[in-house]
Amino acid sequence: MKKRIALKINNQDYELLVADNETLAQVLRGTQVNLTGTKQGCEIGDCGACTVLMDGKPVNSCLVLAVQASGHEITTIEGLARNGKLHPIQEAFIEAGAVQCGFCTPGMILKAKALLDTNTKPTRQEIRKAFVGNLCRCTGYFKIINAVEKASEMLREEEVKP
Amino acid sequence: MAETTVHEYSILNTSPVRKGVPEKATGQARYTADLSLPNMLVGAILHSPLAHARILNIDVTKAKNLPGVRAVLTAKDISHIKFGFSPARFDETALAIDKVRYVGDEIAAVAAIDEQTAKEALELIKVDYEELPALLDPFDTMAEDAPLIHKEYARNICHEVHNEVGNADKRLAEAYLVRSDRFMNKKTDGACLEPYATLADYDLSGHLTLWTSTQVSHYVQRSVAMVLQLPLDRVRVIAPYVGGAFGVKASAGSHELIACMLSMHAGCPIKIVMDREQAFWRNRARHQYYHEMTIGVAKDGKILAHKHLAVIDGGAYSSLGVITVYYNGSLLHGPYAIPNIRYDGYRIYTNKPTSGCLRGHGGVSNRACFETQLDLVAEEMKMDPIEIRMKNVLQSGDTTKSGYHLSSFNVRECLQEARAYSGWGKKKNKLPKGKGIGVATSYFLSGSGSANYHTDIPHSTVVIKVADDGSGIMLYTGSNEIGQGSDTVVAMIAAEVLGLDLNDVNVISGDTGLCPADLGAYSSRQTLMTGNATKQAAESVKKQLLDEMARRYGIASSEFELRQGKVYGTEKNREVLDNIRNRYRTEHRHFTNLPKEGPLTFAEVARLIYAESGSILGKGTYSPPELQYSKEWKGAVIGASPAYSTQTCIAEVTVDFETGDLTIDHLTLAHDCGFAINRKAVEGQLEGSMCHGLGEALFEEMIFDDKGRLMNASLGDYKIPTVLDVPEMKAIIIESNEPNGPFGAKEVGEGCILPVVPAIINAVRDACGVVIMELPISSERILKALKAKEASGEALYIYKPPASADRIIDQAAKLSAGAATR
Amino acid sequence: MILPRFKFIEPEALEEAFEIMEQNKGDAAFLAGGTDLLVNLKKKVVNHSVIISLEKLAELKNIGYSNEKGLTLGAMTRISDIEESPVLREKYPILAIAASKLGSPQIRNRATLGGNICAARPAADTIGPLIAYAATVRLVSKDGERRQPLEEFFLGPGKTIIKEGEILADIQLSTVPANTGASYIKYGIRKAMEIAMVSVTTLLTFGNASCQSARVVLGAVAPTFIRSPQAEDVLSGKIFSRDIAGQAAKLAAGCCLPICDMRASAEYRRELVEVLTRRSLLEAASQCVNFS
Repeated sequence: MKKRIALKINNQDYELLVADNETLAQVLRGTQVNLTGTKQGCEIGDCGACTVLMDGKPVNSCLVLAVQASGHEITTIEGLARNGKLHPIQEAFIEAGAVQCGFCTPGMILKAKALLDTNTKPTRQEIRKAFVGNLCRCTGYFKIINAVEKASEMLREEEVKP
Repeated sequence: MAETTVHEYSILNTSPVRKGVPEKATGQARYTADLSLPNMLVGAILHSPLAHARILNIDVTKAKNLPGVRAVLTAKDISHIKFGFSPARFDETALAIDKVRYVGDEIAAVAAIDEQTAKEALELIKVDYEELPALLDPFDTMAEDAPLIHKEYARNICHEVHNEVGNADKRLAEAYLVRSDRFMNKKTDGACLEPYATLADYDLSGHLTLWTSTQVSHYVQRSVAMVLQLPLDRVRVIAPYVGGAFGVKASAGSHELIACMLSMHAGCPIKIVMDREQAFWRNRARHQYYHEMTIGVAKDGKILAHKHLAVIDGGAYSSLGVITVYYNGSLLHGPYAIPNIRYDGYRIYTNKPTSGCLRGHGGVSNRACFETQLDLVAEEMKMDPIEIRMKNVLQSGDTTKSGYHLSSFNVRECLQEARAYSGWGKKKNKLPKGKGIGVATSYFLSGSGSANYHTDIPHSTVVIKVADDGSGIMLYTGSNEIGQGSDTVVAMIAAEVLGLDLNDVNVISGDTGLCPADLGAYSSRQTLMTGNATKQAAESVKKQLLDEMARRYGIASSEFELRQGKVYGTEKNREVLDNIRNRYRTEHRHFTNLPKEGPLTFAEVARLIYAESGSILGKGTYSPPELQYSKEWKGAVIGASPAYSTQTCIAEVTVDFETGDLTIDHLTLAHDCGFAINRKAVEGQLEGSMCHGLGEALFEEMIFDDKGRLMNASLGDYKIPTVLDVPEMKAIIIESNEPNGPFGAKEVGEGCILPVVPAIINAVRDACGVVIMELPISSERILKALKAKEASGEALYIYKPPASADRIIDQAAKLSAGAATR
Repeated sequence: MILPRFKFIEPEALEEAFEIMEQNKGDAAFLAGGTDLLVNLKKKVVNHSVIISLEKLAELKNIGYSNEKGLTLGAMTRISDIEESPVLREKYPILAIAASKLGSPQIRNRATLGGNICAARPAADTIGPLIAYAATVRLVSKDGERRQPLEEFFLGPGKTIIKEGEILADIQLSTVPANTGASYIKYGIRKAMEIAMVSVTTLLTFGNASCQSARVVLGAVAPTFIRSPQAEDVLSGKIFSRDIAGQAAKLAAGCCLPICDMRASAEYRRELVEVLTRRSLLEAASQCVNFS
């Protein structure tokens, strides 16, 4: 028996039919929503590839039931670009060389968004602490930290400009 | 200075935005698990819970009858044609035929309407086993009367290699200093963020398309066609975006064949997405090694002789393991000059997941042992570790004892630059107690000289088609982009040759249906091989364009230059230029951004040629030339390569004396890549390797129970470095202008992991006087060693592998005594 | 890995929750943050056909602090809220610190205090500090409620004194006396994302230049969290010194019952207990007194 849930995904209202045992990750990636940007690397909360923002806070969507997401606001990687333009965090990741295979990237970028939304000028160590929970096998994290530093700079410049 | 090279390239040696990266950063990039086809079913695989057992019966009745299940396959339903990596050693079947050889071996598969139903169907399959003794310890496995995992291989020896050049024993007897050490590591996993996924679609016209997360589309195509007995041109393998491979995806997997078989049976597309646990079972990563090395040096520190005995635990099947035994020997033939070498290596089967190849294949564990031992020699001789290395390293133009010609080899610069950046001079012997600095150096090949099957086809073929309106080029390459940036490398090469903007180079890769064959991304071959083929293809296109211009202008094609999307030299003949330009502008009436003044653009020239002679196609191929290797060293051909990289790592660490806790404070890695085509991508490989090497040094190990079950098949329990475990790092690009590489480039990606583990071991020794000869270097081992050192009162304590490792090595020593090396 | 089929019910009041639990005795489990239960369901460590969500139960979300009464934390308080709470950081700092070391930000945004307690893992992050702060728990059922010191709440790994039909409602911590120093040290293989190999929590209250009371709580080295009365006795009533800390640490190491598992041997854990207890005591004491 499927249940009807209503939630916002990337600022858009969705009404979905979900099974009790479906996770948010499965539903986001499934045929009703079709947003495959959220990845699954382990399905048990060890890797962070499935990270989405739930009411602005990073969570592992593999450990949230779809029914629990009802009534909440979800942001996936697809929701970051503004009016067809890349979000500064995305630009920073691209420029910094912080993306290799890209599988951890959606989770990383959303983690960056959550961090920079609350801390506009994080130190490298603060960035590191915030990125616990997102594993990367390719980059060694170095250029990811660089990208977040760069993104915070870009966002602060945006603030200053009218 | 290492950081800049003087050259006049437009795009090479810069760090442009990589192909596919914006897509990855926006979620648009679709990996195999993201793909869907109409009428698609979900496939799932049943794995053996036993390490070694005969399959007596499989009852699938209940599974077949579960509503929503459309197909169930066991051995009796499928082809038994064997596959693997090297044709001489194909020993895998898509599903186990009569017995299972490790926990995780595939025994049955189902296709159902959704994942839930498929998984429930698996639980309804009843398998009767006759359990056989599980051979987990190489000592038991290699015993004379051990049960056989594969009946063809006595003592479960998959392969053995005995090689000698010179006379190691004799020279050791004469050496000033001799030492012997033993070392071991553990099986490790690739731990790619993307586990495996595959989507097979066999359509009613008999064409099979397989989208799959692979690094070798070509080999997968061949394996699938061979096993399913389909003509090659009816099998198309497409690699979508791939979330990491590192070597574990370098051969066709059972899951891929199973998906194809299910699709043929069910008559519809089948998607199989493996979960993390299954990915660990498939493994195909780094072997477990047991080493005994003996080194003899002269009074001045010159290495005279090296003996190496190794037992390699290969797991249940052969995979790339035969190559592993050879690399394990030959990857110690550099970067130092060693005139007398003896190597005895055994790869054996055990009832554990199969090892294949992982980043730095056959060069990580042996290098860790060798560099650690070399440092101990240096310590005994009161020589600085960098000094002893400088004394022994080979250089550009030298040849190793295995006969490998080091056409470019800036190992000295690697050592110097790493030394300078890390502040070695100010730190070595001057750090406070508990802090240490260590160094290691290595070398690696830049693509194997041979394909994995006997063939005369070029190893890489690239076709460039100029867009009919000249607006850009399509670059078709069978090579595999796995996140390392190979698509961008070939695009940059083509863009440089043709003077195009990178955005005007469209790369289509990894699709056997569209792209000419390329052996794929393994043994770090693509930059050199696919790069060379690309250069040739681009130059062919360039020649066609310029020859045509020469014909029209009556001047030599050498007077023209392709740069910034223009054809310089054409502005000299106004009449011809205006004529061509007017034609183009008329044809493109109402289009915007049309060329107005100055030389003809690439687009105008290309359009003209297309109109008058048809599509412009350039083809480039690359096969390794006749490679040098010593006939004296058996199997030297495996390891022969058109070029060799070299690299140095310096690690700085802090050891907590009371807990044994090890913190890596800094890592410096200098790598000679010949020429950095994409600088940030090269840095990315070095940084990634420092992190990966740190993981293998400190944390990574596959842990089995006494029934051969993997106990840590999760990313929580199999520990790869988190962001807090990795320190600040410095990647240093060294360039040596490799003559056999495109624009002087050779490999980066594998060599760079080799010196990381021993640099850390050596830094630990420097910090607290203990040498850990068993990986991973856990804090528990360090503390044990520290306590033993204190009890002994000595300045140095060597934490040796346990007795269980000793008896394995002793047993191999007995076996190899008297083994012929010629 | 997929979740097995189950029925998800989200009661809006405690009475409803009790009733559903009663009707589904033996088949049902409560769902708090999900970072533990959902993992166990996927791994097939447990199997439940009914999952009762506690998310909508306001009675489990009481949070309050007063200087007189101390702190009440509802069982459904998110670990991330504990980590970030200014009140906790100031008044119960090691609970906030322990929360900050639990898993990852993603896990902390879902995991709950009640869930961390009821999972009853000997390596759980919040339990050491809670016991150090002498926490009590309030259990509610359709028959009423009862309170229990958290220290007496655990029976073994994964086992608590919660009876069938009971729900953990909230945790209470009384005011921390002045001149109290506290420390939480967690050791794992990596520097993040670890289940503690060993954890040590110490709380020292000073008065008249001597240590009036000491609480030494050890995690991951026994079937449940344990205190070390021997270590505490050697500290209480004495002037604190490095020597005494060393003695206490030795005693703490002596009283633990670590196991050998794939992370570490029992012997190593014991050695860590000694070293980390000493360091923890020094850290706690240094917040209040000077010592030699």
